Amino acid sequence: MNISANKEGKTYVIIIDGEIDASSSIELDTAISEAIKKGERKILVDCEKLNYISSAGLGVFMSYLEDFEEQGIKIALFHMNDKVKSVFEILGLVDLIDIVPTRAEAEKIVE
Amino acid sequence: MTHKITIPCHTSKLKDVRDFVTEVIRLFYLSEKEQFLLVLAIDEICANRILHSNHNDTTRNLEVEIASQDGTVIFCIKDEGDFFDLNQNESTPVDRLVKDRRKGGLGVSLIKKIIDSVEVFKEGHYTIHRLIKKSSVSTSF
Repeated sequence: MNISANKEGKTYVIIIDGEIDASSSIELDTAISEAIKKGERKILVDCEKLNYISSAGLGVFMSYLEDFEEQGIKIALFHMNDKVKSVFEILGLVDLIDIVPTRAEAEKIVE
Repeated sequence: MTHKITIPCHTSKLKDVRDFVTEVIRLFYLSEKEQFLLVLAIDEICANRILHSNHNDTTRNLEVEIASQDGTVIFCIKDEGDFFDLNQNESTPVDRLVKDRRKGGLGVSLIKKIIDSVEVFKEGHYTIHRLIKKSSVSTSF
């Protein structure tokens, strides 16, 4: 699994490539934690190459929701395939975090 | 016929388990999404056992066996870790986990939503998890 991050204008884009499980979720945790420490307020997560996510990955996103709320950080996930999205859907997490089909829609959410 | 994989108890080996389960359950009449979620459920139980009952101890092994019986798929996960019956574990509501900023606590909920039944028992010094999923199974299995 590989995670990269780029500042693009006013948005901070995290790109996930591979599978997030109990072994690799720490890398996602580090990427989000760094974005918060840098003071980023508009975070996009490109999930096009995210092939798999387990509860460890879901847990990382969930554990930062309070920080996002408190610090006025907006985050949106986009280009997620249906199988990966179904993992968020099973537990109703799609009601807690924005997951949209396209980057353009994600940009609107964090505007 | 049964299919089996044995791995050292370390989370870096979870990918091997997922690849194994993916390969075997292709033999079943399940949709791609159903297959994906079954792989997830087995990954969750193995991660749980490796981390919380075997503490990433690579001197211990974990075994996953897949069999079919009477239109059901049966997964047996066998290891030497501490006994813990996840059926006795009440799932914490998601909003509570979010409020507490917890990273863990979702795995058992996922397993219970995907798998039809989970039995946990001791056999000698092994802990066995028997996960049952109702399915139509192809004759090639």
